[in-house]
Amino acid sequence: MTNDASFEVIEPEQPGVPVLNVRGEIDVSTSPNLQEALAELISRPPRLWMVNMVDVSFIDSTGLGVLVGAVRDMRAAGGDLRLVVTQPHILKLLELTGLDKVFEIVSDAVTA
Amino acid sequence: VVRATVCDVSSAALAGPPPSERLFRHEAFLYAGEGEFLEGTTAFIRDAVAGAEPILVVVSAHKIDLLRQRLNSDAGRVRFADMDDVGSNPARIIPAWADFVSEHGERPLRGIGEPIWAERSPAELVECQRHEALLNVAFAESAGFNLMCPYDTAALGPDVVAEALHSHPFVRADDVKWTSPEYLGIDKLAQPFSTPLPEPPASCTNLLFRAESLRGLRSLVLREATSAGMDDARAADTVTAVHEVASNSLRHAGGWGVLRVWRTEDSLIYDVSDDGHIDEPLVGRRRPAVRDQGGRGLWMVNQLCELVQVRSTPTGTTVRMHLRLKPGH
Repeated sequence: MTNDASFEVIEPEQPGVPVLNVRGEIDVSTSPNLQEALAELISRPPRLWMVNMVDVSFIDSTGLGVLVGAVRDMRAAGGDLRLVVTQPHILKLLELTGLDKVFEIVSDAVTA
Repeated sequence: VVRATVCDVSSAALAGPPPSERLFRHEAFLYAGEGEFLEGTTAFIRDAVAGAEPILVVVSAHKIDLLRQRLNSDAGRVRFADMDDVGSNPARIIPAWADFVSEHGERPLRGIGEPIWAERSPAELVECQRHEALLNVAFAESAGFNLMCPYDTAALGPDVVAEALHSHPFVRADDVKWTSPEYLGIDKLAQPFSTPLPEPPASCTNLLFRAESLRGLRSLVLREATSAGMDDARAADTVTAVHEVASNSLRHAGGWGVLRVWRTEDSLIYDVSDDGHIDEPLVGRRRPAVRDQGGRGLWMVNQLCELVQVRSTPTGTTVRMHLRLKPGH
């Protein structure tokens, strides 16, 4: 099966917030890949990460569940995750599920 | 195959005391016309105000206006919500009551909720009746919650009133109160809902899907939505809803499902069937706790669709989603 999602870690050149770029469709079949990518960040020394989702075209409840689990583990380890989301339909899902109160959501990975 | 086990109805609730001893008082109020509605609801509200009990009234905007005028200064002690906003999809009403109940803890509380009116479509009506039945399950252990459900006998058919006596342990009309001998009881009402749905039209679009075809399913859902005239936002919501239901078929049933799509006068219908079984009566009607990793799928579906009909028998499950093509009434 083709992998419909990709993940890329961007370390800042100057001191700043590192970014996980997430692209594509996050559903039942690609959520495990998102989970792996986030677990890898959680295994590093704790810090704040931006999860850049502006190039995510679709996310389902499985993907949202992975994000919730990851932010819990990351906070327990002393770090945090911040989401970069601009797509209205994804913002709406975060709001409907109350996750807009769990995550800090910003619209730009650079200025955040 | 069993799916969704988030049920927290304890066996004690299912095998509890007879209705008259229950702490949750779910009462049908039979009235004929606006005058009787105002008499009965105003008295109920004034009792709440006199006893300093919080009260939430969820009825039509028109009735809210009438009640505000009638109650004068007491109206300030009452919280109102428009049933058209809260309960256009009746599966969204239990979460609204649950929010109200959890806000006030164990203290005595009152509610008035009128989800059924004559203009409801047949599909909406049957889901409202399911909602009324499930209220008994959802609030079985809500101590001191007193919920009155007005039924306009002058406008509703006798079959609708008869059904209200099945789903409400208590009844009142004029100044007379009685316990309903026709009340079916919580065990029966918590059973999976198996009342058959109307057959899909022969001309509907069919898709047999498996795990590897979910992307294809989403494309089909999107194509049907845009060709029916939905804008991008609405089409994206539709794709999410149908995808969630289809993924449930893959995760919790036999790994396949059938999607059928057709159009009615005012809606686009997506119907997903599989060989699974849903034994959790309140699935999709409990606001997911934000830290839960699961339990969001059918919740999201209920928030995104105007009507969701869930039917489950030992041999299979159908979830039929109605997406109105011109949102709003």
